[in-house]
Amino acid sequence: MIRGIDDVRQGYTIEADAVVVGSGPGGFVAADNLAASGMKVVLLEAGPEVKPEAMEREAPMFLAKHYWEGGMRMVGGNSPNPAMAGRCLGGSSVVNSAIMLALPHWVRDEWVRDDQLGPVVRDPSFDRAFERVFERTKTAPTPMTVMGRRNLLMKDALEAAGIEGKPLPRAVHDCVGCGDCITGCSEGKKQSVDRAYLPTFLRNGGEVMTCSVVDEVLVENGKTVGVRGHVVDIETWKTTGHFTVRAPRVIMAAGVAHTPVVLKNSGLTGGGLVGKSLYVHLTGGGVALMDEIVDPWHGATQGWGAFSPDIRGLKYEALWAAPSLIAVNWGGVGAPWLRGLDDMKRAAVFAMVYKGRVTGRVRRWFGGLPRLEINIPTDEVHVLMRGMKTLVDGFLRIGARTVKTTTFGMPEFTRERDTDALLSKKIRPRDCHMTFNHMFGSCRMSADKKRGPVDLEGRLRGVEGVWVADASLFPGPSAVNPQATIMALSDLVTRRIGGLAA
Amino acid sequence: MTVHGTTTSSNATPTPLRRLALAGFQAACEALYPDNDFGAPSWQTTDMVARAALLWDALPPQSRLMLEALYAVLELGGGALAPRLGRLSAMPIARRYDLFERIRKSRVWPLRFVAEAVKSSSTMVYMSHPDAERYVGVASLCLSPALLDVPKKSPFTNLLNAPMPAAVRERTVAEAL
Repeated sequence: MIRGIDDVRQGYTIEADAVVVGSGPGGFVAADNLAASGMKVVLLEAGPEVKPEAMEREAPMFLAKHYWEGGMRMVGGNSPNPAMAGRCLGGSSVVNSAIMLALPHWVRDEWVRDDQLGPVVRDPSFDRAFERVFERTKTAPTPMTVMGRRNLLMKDALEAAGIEGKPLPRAVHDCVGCGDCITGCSEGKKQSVDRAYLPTFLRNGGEVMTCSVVDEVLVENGKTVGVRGHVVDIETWKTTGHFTVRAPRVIMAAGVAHTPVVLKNSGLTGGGLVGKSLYVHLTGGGVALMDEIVDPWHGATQGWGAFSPDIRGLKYEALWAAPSLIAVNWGGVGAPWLRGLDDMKRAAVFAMVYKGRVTGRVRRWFGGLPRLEINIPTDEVHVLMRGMKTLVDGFLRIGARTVKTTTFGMPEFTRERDTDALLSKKIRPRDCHMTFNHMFGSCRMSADKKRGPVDLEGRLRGVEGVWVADASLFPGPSAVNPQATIMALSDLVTRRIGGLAA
Repeated sequence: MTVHGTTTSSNATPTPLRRLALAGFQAACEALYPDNDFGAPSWQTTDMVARAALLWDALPPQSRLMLEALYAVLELGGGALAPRLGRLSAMPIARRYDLFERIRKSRVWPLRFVAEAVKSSSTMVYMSHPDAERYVGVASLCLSPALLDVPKKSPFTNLLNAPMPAAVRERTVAEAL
C-alpha cells in the first residue's frame, strides 16, 4: 500500500523486517528484492507520489515541489553549480532522461585496481543484474520514429566531427517524444522505478510511506534497530508528525547527498570516511542555431549520443528540457535576449558529460541539509573544452549559423577557425556552467577499510544491519549515466541479503 | 497549484522581507523583460511578479529564503553596483539594464554569480507563461500519434503525423529511413 500525506500526517510507528530509506533507483530495487524474499519491507520516501496525470508542465512549479531544495541545490567548491535530484516516489528516475547504459569494462577495471571490487564488478552476477534491470525497465534503443529533428542534427554533427553515434538506450515504453522527461513523463511512458518495480513490491506485501524524511538510523549495542524521522507536508513544508520504523535491517538509498548525512546524524561515520569523498561528472553544453526550423521541442529528450573516440570518459548527447529551463542558458539579457528567443525554434541543443578527476565531500549543513563541495582541476576543464570544440566544429560543418556554448567569455562561433578559443588555457573551472546531476561516491565501496566505509557486500562497517544501495557506493564516476549501475549494484547487494539467486 | 495565467498572489500577509524581495524582483523584471515592439510579451503581460510570489510560496523554506534574500539585497544594494547609492527600483530602467549587462560579463565571479541567479530565477518564471511559449513557437510537445487519428500502418507513424512543419517532417522521415 502507498501511504500519502493524509495517512502519515500525524506520524506513525511500524515494525518490519527491513526498512529502505529512499525510493530512487537503488531503493526501489532493494525494496522489491527484499519483499520478494518474503520479508516485511517498509519503503520510506521524503517526497510525495506524483502520478503522470498530475505532472505539471510548468517546470518551475514542478521543480519547486518535486526536486530537492526546489531545484536550487548548489554544489560549492571551485565551480559552484546546481545539482538536480528528484524528491518524489521513484526519486531521480522520475525526472531524468531514463538513459540506461551498463558500466563500461574499463571503468570496472579501475574499480578493481583502486578498491579491489573484482568480486562485485567482474562476477557474472553483475552482468545478470544489468540484464534484470534492463528487462524490468523495458530498456531499448530510442526508436528513430521519436528522434525528432534535434536528435538527428546531433547525429549529423557527430558524424561531421568523425564520431559515430547511436540511439541511446532508455527505460521507456512507447515513448511519444514529448521531450519533457526532466519534468516527469506526463504520458506515463517512462519506466521510472515507481512504475517498473512498484506493482511487484506491493503484490509482495511491501508498504510505501511517502512524505517521510529520515533523520537518523537507530543503533543499540552495535546493531541497528530501525530509523527515526519526521513527516513533511510539501504544501506547507511544515513538519506534521514524527515516525519510527523498527527493523533489524536498514538499507540506505537516500542518494549521494542524503545517505551520508543521515549516517553522520546517527554517529555512523565508517571510520571517518562517510561523506569524505564525492565525485561528479563534469558537464558542458551549448546550442547550435540552424537556418532550418528544428522545432526542438519535438522528439525524445536525449535520443542520440556518442562516446568520444579521443577522450576517454567523454560522452556527447542531444538534449532538451522545458523551454523555461533551456532559456536560462540562452545568451544575453533584456530586449536583445527577448528578441533572440525567437530563434529557439531553430535550436539543436547538445550536452556533454565527462568523467574527470575531481575531489569533493559531503557535510551536514543547516536544517539537516547536505552541503556538497567539489573541486575540479583546471586541466580537466581543458579536456572538457577540447571535447566541446570537436562538437562545435561538427555543428558548424553541417551548416549551423552560429553555435553558442555555456562557457563564460566565449563568443558565438560562426566559423571553425574561431573555435580554437575553446582551447584557451585561461578557461577556469568557474567559467564553466555545469549541472551536477551525476554524483557518486560519498559512502565508497572498497575492500580496503581505509579507503571506503562500505564493504564488498554493501555493509556499512562498524555497525551491524546497515547496508548502502545507491550511487554513494561508487568508488568513482561511472563515465555513463549512473542509473543502471545503481540498480545493478543494489540488485546484487539486496539479493544477497534476501537470499535470492543472483 | 498552478501559476499559469493567474493574478492571484499568496494568501498570507507578505513579510517585510517578501515585500522588499518582490520590489527587487519587479525592478529587475522591468529591465530584463521590457515592453517591446517585436512582439515578445513583457513582464507585465506575463504577470511575473504575482506568479513569482506563488512560485516562491511553493518552494521549500531554505530555497525561498535564498531567493528572497537575493532580491532584497539587490533592491537595497543594487544601486551601489551602478555605482550610485539608492534602491534598484529607484534607478532608471535603462541603467538597471546596463547594470545587469555589466555584472553578467564581469570577471569578478561573485558579481557574475548574482547576475546568473537573477537571470535564472526570473527567466523560469517568464518562460513558463503560455504567452512566452507561444512567442517562442512551442506548438505541441509530443510526436504522439494519438494527437491525430491515423492508421498505424507505417513504422514511422509517430513521425509522419507529428505536428511539425511539412518540410521538417519530410527531411526527418528521410533521415529515419
